[in-house]
Amino acid sequence: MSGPAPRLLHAAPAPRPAVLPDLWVGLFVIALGGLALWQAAVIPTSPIYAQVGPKAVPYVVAAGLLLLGAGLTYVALRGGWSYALEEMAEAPPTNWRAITLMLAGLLANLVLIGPCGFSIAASAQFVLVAAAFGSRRLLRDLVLAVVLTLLVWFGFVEGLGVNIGAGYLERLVLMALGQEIS
Amino acid sequence: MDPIAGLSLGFANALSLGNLGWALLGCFLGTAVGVLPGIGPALTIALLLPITFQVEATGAFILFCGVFYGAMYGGSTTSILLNTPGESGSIITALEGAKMARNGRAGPALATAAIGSFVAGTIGTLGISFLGPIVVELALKLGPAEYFSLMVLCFVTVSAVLGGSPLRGLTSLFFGLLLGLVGIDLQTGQPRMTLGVPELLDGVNVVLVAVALFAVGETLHLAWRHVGGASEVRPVGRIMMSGRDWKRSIGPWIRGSLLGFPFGVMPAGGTEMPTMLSYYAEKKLAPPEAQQEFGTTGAIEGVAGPEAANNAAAAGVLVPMLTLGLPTSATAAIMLSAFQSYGINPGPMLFEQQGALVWTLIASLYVANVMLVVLNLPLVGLWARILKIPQPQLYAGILVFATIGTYGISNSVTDLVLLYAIGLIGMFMRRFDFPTAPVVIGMILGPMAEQAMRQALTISQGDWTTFVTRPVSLAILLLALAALLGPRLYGTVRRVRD
Repeated sequence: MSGPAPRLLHAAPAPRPAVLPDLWVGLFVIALGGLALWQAAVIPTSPIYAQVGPKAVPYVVAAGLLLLGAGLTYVALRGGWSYALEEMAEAPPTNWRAITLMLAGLLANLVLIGPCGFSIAASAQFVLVAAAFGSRRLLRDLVLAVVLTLLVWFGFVEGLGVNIGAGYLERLVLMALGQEIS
Repeated sequence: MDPIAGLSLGFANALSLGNLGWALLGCFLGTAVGVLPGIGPALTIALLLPITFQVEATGAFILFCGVFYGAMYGGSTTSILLNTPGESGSIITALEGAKMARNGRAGPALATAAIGSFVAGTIGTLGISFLGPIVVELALKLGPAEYFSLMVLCFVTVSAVLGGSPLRGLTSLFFGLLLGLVGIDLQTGQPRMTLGVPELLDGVNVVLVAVALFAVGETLHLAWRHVGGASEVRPVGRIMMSGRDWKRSIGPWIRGSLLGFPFGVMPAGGTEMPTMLSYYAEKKLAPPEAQQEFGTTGAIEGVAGPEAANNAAAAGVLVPMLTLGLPTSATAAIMLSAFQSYGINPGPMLFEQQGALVWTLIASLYVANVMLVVLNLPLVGLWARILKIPQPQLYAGILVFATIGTYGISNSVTDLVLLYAIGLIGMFMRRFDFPTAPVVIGMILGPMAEQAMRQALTISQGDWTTFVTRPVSLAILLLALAALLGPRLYGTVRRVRD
């Protein structure tokens, strides 16, 4: 490992961009390791005899995460690694509008899927996600979403035999097709 | 069963109408997802996993393998026409392929990629047929201790050797190992790492994690950095290769295949390395007038070689998967979990106990290969049209599939919360350059490694030295250590010398 980068008096290198983001990553991994350690500790000791109990590997994984987290934190404190990523250098600034709409879409799906069923929830998500990526034709997206989600629902339920409860929209279509609703 | 007998049995099964249908469906779906930026074979097979409840094993695996091979074919189309490689294996193809397309030679580039994929797929599948049984012979001699060491080697190569940094690769791997631990311990019945959430007693579903990382995380990351404007799709033109194109392609196809296959077989299932090596080899070997085209107007050798290497490496990945039960790519890991959902344990016993299944699978790889080259050359215009699906609707649609794929597992909103949480982690993993494949591999392979370790320790009556006193196990562990430390030592030595 080399020591601190030599600095020339004139032509001092531009100060490194904040290492804060990288530091957060290191701390997050340490926290994950801590969580794993706690969860490993609360595994009840098995009454069944075994050469290696159920706790051994969880401890190893927890220790590994703590060590790796420490390593990442160390690297972050010495300037981090993000600045060297080609992709980050060219990356446009954070698109807050897109990311907010996108998260709103996921949230809408989460809230609606229980009470209203798959097609309504996923359609809401579709419209919001499409808007996040710059679509401005709300009505067309909505029509597209309803058709697509219904097709997907029938494909998975009838084709792949996945059991997904019928929501309002699915019931309506089933009724229109004259099928019994179980 | 020797390869010839196995293959004749396999072909008899694979050529049945039903199995041909599965292969065709797989190839079609695979090419489509390969062409579409943002979805790959791992995600597609993960979403198709429910089919394992409906269809018998042979049909399902023929479908999966069709998707796997098809996606390799499709990936090159995106690289050439859009200059945005869909998966890591096609990054190199974009270098020369996109330049050829810009100079109106998209047709020959697509043709050499498709035919090169066929050559490589055939050589790779021949490799599987004849190498597979030999590896099985060797593998049958391995005990749990050697198996555990082999898995450790696998962990090291997929996380620490490939990719930008060992530290980040290993962090991804350990995240996967952690996810694999969640649920009830199979040997003692104790719940582990569940945070007291009853839904987690059954463990975290691998489909959920694959969808979270590959669909939700990717889409979130794209939204984060989204700027408007559509990318330009180059016109296809005529899919023809002149006599000169043929002459310039044949060498690179064969060299690329021979280079790629061993890389896939070794437990380091990367496609970046062989494609890159093939590219540099072809650049060196090309005649002077062709060398001028490299990096300027686009050289056909630079498409033919890497594309063949990519496909041969992908075929090679199936060798450790089928013979040892070791997945070395995310797609192979998902396929392994499909085997598990049929109650089949891949590994050396697979060839004996499920001989018909394995050989039918291998035979249908040949079939899929032929189908793909026949399907792709005339249909390339159709695939190019898929590229014109506008981004907003494409990503919104991918998330619809992600939702139903996850919600369908158990109709549980908890699963969706987990999906989005891991998806957010996936977004940050992309941002901070953590590889995602080791997560999926660690999740599948982790529990298998733990089982092998505990078996080995039961046999040795708790003596941990069993891993280093058995010569084969020790050799494999030393190899893993060398793979982990070798590059760093080399770097240090070089720095000291300078």
